[in-house]
Amino acid sequence: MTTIEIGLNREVVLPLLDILHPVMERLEHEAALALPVVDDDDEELADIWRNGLLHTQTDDCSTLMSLFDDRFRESGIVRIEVEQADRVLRALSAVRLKVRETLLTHVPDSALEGTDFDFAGLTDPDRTGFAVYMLFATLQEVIIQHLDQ
Amino acid sequence: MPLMSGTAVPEIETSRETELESIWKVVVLNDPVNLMSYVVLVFKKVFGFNDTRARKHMLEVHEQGRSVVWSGPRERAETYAYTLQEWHLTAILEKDDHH
Repeated sequence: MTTIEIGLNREVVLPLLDILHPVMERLEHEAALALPVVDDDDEELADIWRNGLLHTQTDDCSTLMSLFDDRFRESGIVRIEVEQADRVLRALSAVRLKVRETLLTHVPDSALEGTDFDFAGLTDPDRTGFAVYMLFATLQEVIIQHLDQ
Repeated sequence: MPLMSGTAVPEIETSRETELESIWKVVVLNDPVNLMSYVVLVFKKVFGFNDTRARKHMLEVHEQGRSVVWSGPRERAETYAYTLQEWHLTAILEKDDHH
C-alpha cells in the first residue's frame, strides 16, 4: 500500500485547524457549492442529488480530518494512503470553498486567482482564513503532484 | 372523455421520448477557488481525458468562464454533472439546440 507522507509545522497548523471547526460543522449540513438546477419540475430528483452529494461530502471531510489525529499531533506528519487520495482531494476542495464563503468574504475573487495579493493588507481574521485556504491548497498540490508521478 | 384522455397519453410519451433523445451538454463553469491542477485531475478522472485534452478544457474554463466537456443523452449528462459536483466543480446541463 502506497502512502503519501507530508511533514507540516504543528505549531502553525494546529491553531489553524481549531478555526476550522465551524466550517466543518457547516459542511455536515450544507453542500460546499450551490446545487445546479437539474430539472425545475423534479423536486424528488433534486432531493436525491442533494442527499447523495452531502453524504459523499461528509464521508470525504471525515477522512480529511482523520489525518490530523494524535499521530499527527505527535509527529507533524500527515499520512495519506493512495486509496484515500480522491476523498482527501475532494474534501480539501470543499473546505476551501466553504472557507472562501465564510472566512474570506472581504477578499475579492480577483485576489484569490491573482498573484499580486496583498496579504499584509488583510485584517487578522481574514489573514487566518487565508492561511487555512493556502495551507489546504498546498496540500492539494502536493497530493496531485504525487499522483501524477 | 375516456377516448380523449386515451389519445393524450401518447402525446406526452412522445414528448418525453423526444426530451430523452435530445443531446445535452455538460458545461463546467469557472470558480475562483479550485486550483488549475485540481481541475485537470478531475477531468482526467471523470472523463478519462489525456493530459492535453484535460488542460485544454481547464484553460477554456479559466479564460472563457466555461467549457463544454461532454455532450450526449440526458441521462449520462446528468450522471457526469453529478460526479463533477461531487468533486466540487460547478457543472450545469444545457440542451443542444443544434440536434
